[in-house]
Amino acid sequence: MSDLDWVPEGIDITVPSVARTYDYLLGGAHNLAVDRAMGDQMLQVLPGARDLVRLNRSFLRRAVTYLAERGVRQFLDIGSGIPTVGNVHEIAQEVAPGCRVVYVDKDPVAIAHSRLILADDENTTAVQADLREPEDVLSRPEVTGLLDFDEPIALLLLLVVHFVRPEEEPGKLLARYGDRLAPGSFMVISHATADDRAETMRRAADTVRESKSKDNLVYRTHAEVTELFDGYELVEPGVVGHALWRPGGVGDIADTAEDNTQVWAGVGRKPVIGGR
Amino acid sequence: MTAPLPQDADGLRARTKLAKKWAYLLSSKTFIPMAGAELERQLLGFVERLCAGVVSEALAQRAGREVGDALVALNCTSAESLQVSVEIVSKGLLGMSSLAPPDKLRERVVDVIASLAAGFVDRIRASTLAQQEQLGRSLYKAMRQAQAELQASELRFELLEEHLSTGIATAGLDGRLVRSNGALARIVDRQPAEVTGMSLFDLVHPEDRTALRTDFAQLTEGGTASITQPRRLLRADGERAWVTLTLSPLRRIEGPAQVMVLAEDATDVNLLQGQLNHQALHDVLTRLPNRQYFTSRLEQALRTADPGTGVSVFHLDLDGFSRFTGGLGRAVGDHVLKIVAGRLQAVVAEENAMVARFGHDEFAILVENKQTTPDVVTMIRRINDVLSAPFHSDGNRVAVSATIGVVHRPPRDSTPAALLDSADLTLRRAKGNGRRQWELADRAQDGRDRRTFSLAATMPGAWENGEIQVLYRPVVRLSDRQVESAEVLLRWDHPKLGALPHEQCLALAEDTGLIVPLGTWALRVACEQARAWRRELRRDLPVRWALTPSQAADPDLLGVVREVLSDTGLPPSSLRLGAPAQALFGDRGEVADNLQYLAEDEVGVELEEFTAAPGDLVRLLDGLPVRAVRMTQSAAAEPDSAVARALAGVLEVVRDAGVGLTAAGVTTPEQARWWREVGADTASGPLFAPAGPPDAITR
Repeated sequence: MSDLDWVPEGIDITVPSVARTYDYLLGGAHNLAVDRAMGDQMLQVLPGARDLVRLNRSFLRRAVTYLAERGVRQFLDIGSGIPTVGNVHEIAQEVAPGCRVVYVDKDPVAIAHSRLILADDENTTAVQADLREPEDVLSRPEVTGLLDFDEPIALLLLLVVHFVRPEEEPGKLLARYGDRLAPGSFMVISHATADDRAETMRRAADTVRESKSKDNLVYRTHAEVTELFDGYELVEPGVVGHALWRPGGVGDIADTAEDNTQVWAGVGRKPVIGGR
Repeated sequence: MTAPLPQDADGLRARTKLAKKWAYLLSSKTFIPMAGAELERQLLGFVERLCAGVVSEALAQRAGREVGDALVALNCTSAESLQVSVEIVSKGLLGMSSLAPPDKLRERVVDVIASLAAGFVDRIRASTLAQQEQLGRSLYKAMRQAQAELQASELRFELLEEHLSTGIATAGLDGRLVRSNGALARIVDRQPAEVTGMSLFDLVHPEDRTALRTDFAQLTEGGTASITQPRRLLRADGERAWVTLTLSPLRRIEGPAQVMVLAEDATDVNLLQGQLNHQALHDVLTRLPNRQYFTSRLEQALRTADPGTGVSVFHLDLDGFSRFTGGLGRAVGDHVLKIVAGRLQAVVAEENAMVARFGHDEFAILVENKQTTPDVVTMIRRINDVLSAPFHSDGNRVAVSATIGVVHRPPRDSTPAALLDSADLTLRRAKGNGRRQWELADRAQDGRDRRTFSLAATMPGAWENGEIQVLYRPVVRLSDRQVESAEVLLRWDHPKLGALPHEQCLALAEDTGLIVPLGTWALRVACEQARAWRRELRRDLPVRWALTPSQAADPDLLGVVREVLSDTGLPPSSLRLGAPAQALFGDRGEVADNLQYLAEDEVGVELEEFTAAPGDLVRLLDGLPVRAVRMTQSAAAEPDSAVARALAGVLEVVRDAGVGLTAAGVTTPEQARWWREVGADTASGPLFAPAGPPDAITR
């Protein structure tokens, strides 16, 4: 036991990291050869991969802007990855300077990096924890210290719920977060699907599975993703392709039609009892 | 920006159109974190900068570099971004003929675009290096954090490993133990150093080996998280130790996989705790563990304690505790017990110890000795020191002391039951010496005491079964050898041990407190017999009963005697009761009071075991209502000795005081003659007749 022959998940530089691969596809340089190899393999199988992450990032920007404009001042971003450009706190604080943001990721490198970047911002913090352990996430002092659970919070789950296996019961898992959120809170989900291009997406999933990464993609149908919003009122236009959720300009939509609907996205609002 | 841009509407329209097209192409290739309109606004700024560079030769390089740099800042970092930018901007600028003279335009545009490419590359190189640098730092920080956590987790593991009573080991896939803890060594009764290096297969019972191999194979094949089974381990002495064995695979990045082994002592107190609820193991009043829990812990401690230091068991009995409950009330008694419980726990707070409440006022302490544990004498002193500190309870100032039996470092093969018996016997011995005494267990003495106590324990049953009889021994007048009265004696016809004589019966009954009912019974039987003799023989034949110390001091004695006399109709003068001189001498008044009242009732009061010592004599002459004293033969020594002559002088004083003298244990005619010479009226002993049933007296 005393030998340092053990490397925690996410620090082993021979294993690709989802967060760093995402960064690579987004054009960042916070990645290692192993991540780039994985990204390149993905591009071979799914040439639109760069567009998918770009569209997802655009969706995040629109959703956060929408929520901040609706008065939401607290954000809990789970599966936040490596902070690059257009991070949640930057987008939200552009609308309302006092917005508070907690980034959560299980990747220790992503969190170490987030802390490096967020060191000077007292309205943001980063926590290393796993989406699958809601009680742990919600009881962390960084979370309870920065977020007021009596006020609305936006729970952001972008491209992360599709790593939760069916036996882990994502619906019940998310409900454990939802139970803690004040009425008027929001939940934002984007989730990869194989409703179209099933064969391509299967090969994409295999690419991830064959890497040494422990995260495997689980696609869900439109109905299944909609079901994740049980107990929430869906904001117009409901669960749609990520490019089609309130697009604002040319960059929000890809040329290839399938890329626009390869990821289901939606925003739900936890109803106020007796309210609207 | 010195050079003015052409302010014509056509020029502005051309620049805006270029910016829009540029924005469209960029945003469909790369993620730019801003809304489309904002991007167009920014790109229009870029276009105007570049136009200025085309207008003014001096500005060309700077403008180009700045825009190249700004593009990267917008996250346009891909080769495609650069490609579309160069293409669209070059074409656009070349179409703006108003910017420069026709012969210069082409050259200026090339200048600006070349600088844009250079600026782009510079910035992207710097940005990539900075990001890689950040990533390296993040990796390092994460690694360091992980190492710190690993170290903390190792410390925790080592602490657990060292202090848990669960055996913990790491085994290779061949079963060889590469690491093991002290608890495992204790379970298998070996030295820790010896266990590491052994094979787990050699440590399990031969009959469990095949099953264990199957478990190992299953773990090696993978897919199994862990296997938990009851197994038998082999101790060094060949005895088996039942454990719950848990095997769990330990996969490693480097080196072969290993197996984590947990051996939980199946006889462990934890198991007991799991089966019984807390209340079944604890005393409700003091919340201390009870005898059952203590016994279970003792059993474990005997096996697992360091043989170099062993365990010690202290069995405590509070001195005169009935004084609290009887005199001050139950609430005070309960309070005292709680205080005692807390104080005893404080005494051994530094030790690996358990304090338990055994019964009414009995406590026990088990100490698993360490090198630093104080010796027994110090421990006893500390116990009595803390107990003796007075405290207030319900307005009373109270202090307690305890008598303690100690079993120190018993052999490891002792059973808890034998050990607790030994502690109990030792405590009783200590109590025999008075208050605040203590004694160490003595195996030989234990054996004797054990026999006595087991006899004493069966005595009430034997009495009920009629094994105990009342016998009579004639007391004869020395002048004419006529039977003057009858001594009442007990005999226990034990089915296995044969007849146990009077003295032993009394000692056993006195030990258990049976003496009071048994003595009363004997008295009643004897009085009924005396009444029968009066009718039968038509003369008075008094019966004589020697009171034991506790009978003599019994506050109910007078009542009992009166009741018996009234029930049997025997005249009080036909009953003689002997009180032991020692009891009278060491007494605070109860015995003297009893004798006084009995004498007033005209019961014949005599003094037993009179030694003619000065103290006895003073009491006797001090107005005690005694009709006679009785001396035994041994006290009188040989008739012609100097002692005998001195005794004769003393006895003269007794006689002069009007007190009679009777001798017991007379075996020879010479002795009988001597007693007669010194003034004894009556005597008993083997010379005259042995004890027997009632008809032996009248025959």
